Amino acid sequence: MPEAREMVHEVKVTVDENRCVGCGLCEQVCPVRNFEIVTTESGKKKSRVTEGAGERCFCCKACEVICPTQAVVIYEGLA
Amino acid sequence: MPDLVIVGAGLGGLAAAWDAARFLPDYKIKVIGDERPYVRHKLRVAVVGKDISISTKHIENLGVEFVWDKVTKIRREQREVVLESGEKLNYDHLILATGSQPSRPKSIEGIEKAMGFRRLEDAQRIREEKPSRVAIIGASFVALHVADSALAVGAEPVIIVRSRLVRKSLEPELSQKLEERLKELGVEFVHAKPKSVKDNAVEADGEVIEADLIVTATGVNPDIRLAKEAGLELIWDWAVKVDEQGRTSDPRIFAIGDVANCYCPVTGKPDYFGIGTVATLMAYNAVKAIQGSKAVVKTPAYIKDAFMGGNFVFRAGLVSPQAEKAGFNVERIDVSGTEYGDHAYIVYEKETRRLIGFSSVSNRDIGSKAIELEKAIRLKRKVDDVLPSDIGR
Repeated sequence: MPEAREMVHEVKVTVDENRCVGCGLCEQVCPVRNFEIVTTESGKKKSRVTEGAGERCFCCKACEVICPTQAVVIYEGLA
Repeated sequence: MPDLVIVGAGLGGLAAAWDAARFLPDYKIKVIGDERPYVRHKLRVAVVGKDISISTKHIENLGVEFVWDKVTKIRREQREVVLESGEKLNYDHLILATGSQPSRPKSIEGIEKAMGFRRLEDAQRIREEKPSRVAIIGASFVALHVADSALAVGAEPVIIVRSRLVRKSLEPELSQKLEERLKELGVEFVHAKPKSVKDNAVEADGEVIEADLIVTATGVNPDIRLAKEAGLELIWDWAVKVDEQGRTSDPRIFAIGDVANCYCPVTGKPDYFGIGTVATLMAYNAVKAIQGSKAVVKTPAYIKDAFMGGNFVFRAGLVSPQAEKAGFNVERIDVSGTEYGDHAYIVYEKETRRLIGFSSVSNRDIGSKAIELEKAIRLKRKVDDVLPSDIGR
């Protein structure tokens, strides 16, 4: 019989700043407010991942699907 | 001030509430939920006691009211819903996000004895009962999640598979690869057709599989009771029929997520994908429709899932058996060992070379590659546009 063990489910919400065009669609669809649109020093709008996003994330991946430039990627690991 | 009532506080209901709070500022919005929200996708870690509840504060802060009660009836003529408490709520628009329940196939005698794996109390039961052997009926993603949970509490999982693992999401060879990998991790497989469930055993094709906990994971049944009793039109007799914006046969009522059909990104026809991505995007479409927009975000057939020991499953579009069933003459390209994963196939239409589907089983996360293919499928791009550089074009 296997031994009981600690199970870790890590979710990492990422935005590739180089790909992001700041359209705000990820911020619009995410039901748990994992994104916010900020203005960078160069004046460009970009999506930024909010604190605690991994814990809140439903892993629905709607942000990945709606992002027009594939800037948003959800990494999920279960160990 | 018009009233919007959202029935259900799962992912679809929360997404609708969050969208409505921002896009329908003139509406008074109420969400009726019969259980506090939690991240269902993480139910596996609730088995080991992790808190997976989710706050609704950010939605409430925008003026949305949550009512923890149960809707017992929709009275369409009066445009009101009746709650278990007796309270009645009027609506100008209603969004049904009532979700689904674990299916219990009637062909399996005694299946009602098997527990589902859908709610927090299911995770709690596994934690408290500390089973030594768990029999899992079905080969769905939920079956794999239950196997994960069983291993986490020190139990032996045995999956009873009638056809093959997650067959709607993987090419046949990939189901086999995934099974081999999971066997190495301690998951037992029995390939047989379940006939009956006893108190401590499942009988399948004459074989008796003993277990002290039996779980059904054969899929879900949309929770259509309210919609059916209200006389809303159904599709296939088991889901609420909606258009691409989520509108039911009553234009004031929308249905989103697991309770309703969606539309296949490949065929454009009504289909059913009980996945979170669809629920969230259907919520967005429904709220936009109430706002007056005709725009539609097309729902994807897209799955990324992770299992213990670093196993990943990716799926976009249709696998070849499904595509053939839908009338496509398809060919496949083996892209195993490329940026698309350790074991992977791309499916395309032979005549037009249009991309139809992709599936992969891998020991590593392929990052943005799966979503790139999902988009390419929805945009009807050619297979040649996505082939890895080391695969002949």
